[in-house]
Amino acid sequence: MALTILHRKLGRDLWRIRAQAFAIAAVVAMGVMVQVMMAGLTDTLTITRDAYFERHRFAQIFEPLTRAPNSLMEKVNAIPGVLTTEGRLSGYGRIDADGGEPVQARILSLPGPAGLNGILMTAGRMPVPGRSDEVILLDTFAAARGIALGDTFGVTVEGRHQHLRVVGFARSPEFLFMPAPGEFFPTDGRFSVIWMERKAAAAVLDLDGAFNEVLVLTTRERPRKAVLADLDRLMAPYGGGAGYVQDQQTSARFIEEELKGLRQSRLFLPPIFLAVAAFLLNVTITRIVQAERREIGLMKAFGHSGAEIAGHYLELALLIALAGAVLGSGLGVMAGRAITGLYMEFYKFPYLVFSMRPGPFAGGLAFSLLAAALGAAIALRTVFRLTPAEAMRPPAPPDFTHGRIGFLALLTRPLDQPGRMILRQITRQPFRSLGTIAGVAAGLALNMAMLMIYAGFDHTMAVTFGFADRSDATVSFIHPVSRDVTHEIAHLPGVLEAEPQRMVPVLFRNGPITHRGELTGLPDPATLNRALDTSLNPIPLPANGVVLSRGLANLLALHPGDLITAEVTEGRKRHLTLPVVAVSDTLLGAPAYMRLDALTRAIGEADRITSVALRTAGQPSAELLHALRERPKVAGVSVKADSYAAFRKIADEGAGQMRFVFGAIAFVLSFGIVYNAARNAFAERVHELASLRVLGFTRAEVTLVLAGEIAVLVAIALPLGIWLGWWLANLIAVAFSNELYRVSVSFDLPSIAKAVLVVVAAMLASILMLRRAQDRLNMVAALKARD
Amino acid sequence: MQPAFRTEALSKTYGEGPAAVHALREVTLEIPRGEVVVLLGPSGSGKSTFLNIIGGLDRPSSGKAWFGDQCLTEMSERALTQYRRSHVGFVFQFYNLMPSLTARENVELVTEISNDPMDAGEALRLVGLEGRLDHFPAQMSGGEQQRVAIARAIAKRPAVLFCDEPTGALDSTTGRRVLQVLNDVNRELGTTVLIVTHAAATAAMAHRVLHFTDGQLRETILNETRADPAEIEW
Repeated sequence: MALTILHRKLGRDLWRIRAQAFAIAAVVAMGVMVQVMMAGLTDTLTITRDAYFERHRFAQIFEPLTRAPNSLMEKVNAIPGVLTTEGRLSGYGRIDADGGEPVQARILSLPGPAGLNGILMTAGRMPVPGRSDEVILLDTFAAARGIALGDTFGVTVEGRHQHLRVVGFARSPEFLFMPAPGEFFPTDGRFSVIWMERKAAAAVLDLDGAFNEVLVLTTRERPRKAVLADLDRLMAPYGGGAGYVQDQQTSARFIEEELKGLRQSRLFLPPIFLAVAAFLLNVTITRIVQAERREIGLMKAFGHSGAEIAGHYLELALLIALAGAVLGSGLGVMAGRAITGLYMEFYKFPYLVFSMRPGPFAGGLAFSLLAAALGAAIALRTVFRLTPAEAMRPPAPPDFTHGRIGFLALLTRPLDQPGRMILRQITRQPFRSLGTIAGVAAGLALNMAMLMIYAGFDHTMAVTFGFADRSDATVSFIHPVSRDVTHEIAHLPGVLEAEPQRMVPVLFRNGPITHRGELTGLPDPATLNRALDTSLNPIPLPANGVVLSRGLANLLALHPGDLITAEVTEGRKRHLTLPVVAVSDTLLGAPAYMRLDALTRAIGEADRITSVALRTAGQPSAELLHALRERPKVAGVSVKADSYAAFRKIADEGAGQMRFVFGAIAFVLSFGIVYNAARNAFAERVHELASLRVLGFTRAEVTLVLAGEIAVLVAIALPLGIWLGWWLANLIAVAFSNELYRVSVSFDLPSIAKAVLVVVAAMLASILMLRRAQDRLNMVAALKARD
Repeated sequence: MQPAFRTEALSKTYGEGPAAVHALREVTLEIPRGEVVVLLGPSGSGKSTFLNIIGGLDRPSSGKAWFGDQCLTEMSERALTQYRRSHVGFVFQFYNLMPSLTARENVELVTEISNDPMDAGEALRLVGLEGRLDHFPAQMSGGEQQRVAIARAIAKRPAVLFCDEPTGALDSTTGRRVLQVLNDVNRELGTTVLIVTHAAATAAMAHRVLHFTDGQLRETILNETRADPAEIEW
């Protein structure tokens, strides 16, 4: 297409309004960026997860049991719907690292011929058959602990101590997200997996000729739940019966939670930006068409059709949107890659390449152009209506007769004339003013909501690590031990207080809703680990019944007074029916609290505990850790300071960066809207401003008239934005809460102040830029121009 | 009596080098107080540039200008603003009213920042608009809008009223009415009135006519007898 004169005009027009065009393009860019980033991340995680799961034949059904003979596997294979299956050996041991706290390790037999739950070797080799001391270690743990190939380390399994040699490093889909027992977030150096040859594992775990976990891949012919039910029945006599499907496996579940969050943000964020961009383009094109009435009249007089001229202005809008879409795509890829790096770190994928399918880019582009076209179309109706003769006459002064009637008249009465000008200007075009207010409020709300969510992080840490959990360390045992162990531990060096706890894995059930979790037994009154109400006061544990965390109560749709079923999945596998007595305001995890004596009685294991919480003088000493290492039944020690640090790292790295990104997005949105509003007002009222200067108003007084209008709009937008932000924060909190982490929001004043500050900064920046334009204004030329 | 304005070799050049435009070339003159002065000349003759400089809207490239004993050409930006605020009123071809303010409010815009203003209603009565006080510009004819602009300009009781093509956008009947108002202002308030126009007939109502050509003052004519604006033919 040859460049016509109209195209040349287009180029010059764009150059003339470059600052405004850039501000609008930036808003479009934010929308496209979020779209490209979120879509890319969703794709990246989905594709990588699916490929990783498939390549390593990640099981679809898991059935843990106590012990079953290898011959039973034939019957498992015969269950309808079973594609392939494997009986593996699984247990726990304790790695006794020098000096540090004992670390719990999962011990697994290496994948068999079926290759289920295969591992990905990242270094070294497989153990040589017959060499029972050769093992493969989880690579992230080895890296965190500085363990090299060929190193030996001590492990205690079932009370027996032995030395193992590392010959290879590996990772597996099963351990993408694996917090150490008793902790909430994964830390590389705090949890490990040891893969051993089957024979070696059988010897260590005392499972010769037997297996204690079934892994299954199913065919499509039967629902997995049906296969699981058959398997549960088959395995019940062998200590099984509490199997679960892949969706409930820890790693798989948390990746899915992450994906859910991404999909939700992708749905609600980009439309906000595109709506704002459409509005801005509408106002700007309307203003330009108004200012170029004469040119439009001339072009029509010369024989251009209304469609040709409208097309010219439409091209202007589309070009701005196109620039925004291209910029946004680039930013989206950059942001997506950065976050992919964080995901790599957090979830232990072997590879994670940011996906760039054409779909999201094309979608972002199409929606930006559509938004621009919609915004411009409404403004361009004028072009068609304008007759050449009419266009050549100066426009009649805009009608302000509305200012003399009703409420507005009352409102303006006490004002001076500049004040009246401001108020009448705002009310003359209510939709435009409302659009500006809504846009600014949206920017504020978005930023404020995200800041509140992040402030909620800090609140969660303060409540969890300051009030709910007042221990300094928790000692966990491989198997339940007598409560008397508490007293022995209480007498170890540096221990000020020791409190017994009992964790019982159960399947919670409320009608059709089920959830795999734990019952937590605590002494009454508990002092180190407590259930708290919303005012952070401890909730006394009832002699009979259960106190649910809010996360769990919401998940199971239960309220105080309801009955809950808890099917114990270990030991005697009793089914308990318990009244829900209260709901606690627990923020991390989703525990269900019971009185220790009531719980152990109910499951038929009187006074047997699984962990002891400790309060120590200062950090747990090396002497204390050594003393705990000497006790063979100790599975691991979790030091609260480490948990805290892991949580802090997540808050600072991932969330910290996102906090910054959202601040920047909010600034672009607020600035784009405020600057455009100010710029349009300035262009429309150059004459008035020049007149004021001629009449003897000072520069500052004139600036005030223009700034006043913006300031009033922003002042109305602020409370609206705060209200909207509070609503949005609560919405996000509900949407993003899961059983691991309940997002808590409070009406956090610093968050509000920061968000307001961003909007005010955007406003001041706009006013400063306008002031510069005003200073360059040639009074005489402005006054002599006809319109 | 000291003249209202005095200029000495006042020049204004736009641009530089071969592209330079000499809008005003060394104009030296005096304008006495209390007169109606008409500045005549074709487009580009320098009459508007002259008006803008002594009105405090523009600065000369060289030369000096005095308002009474105040040297305008040495004034700071702030002082010029104060000068426009206190001593002079402007009327332009395209009225330049605030569309968001009524007739009365447009006048009050000025009286609010003046030291000894007349009542806004009084100013509008002087221009014959006592019945249109609460009308917005959109509800008024061009002539009415221009009279509001004049009322706004005189409400601060300025020493001088500058009018740049005040009848340029008006039909002859309305134009005559506006000139009549300017004449009344001069007679009743003693305001010095400077009118820039290229309608030569307007000269008949002046005490003094200044002819500009090519940026220079060519001729000054003093009218022995002044015509009533109502009699001026267009």
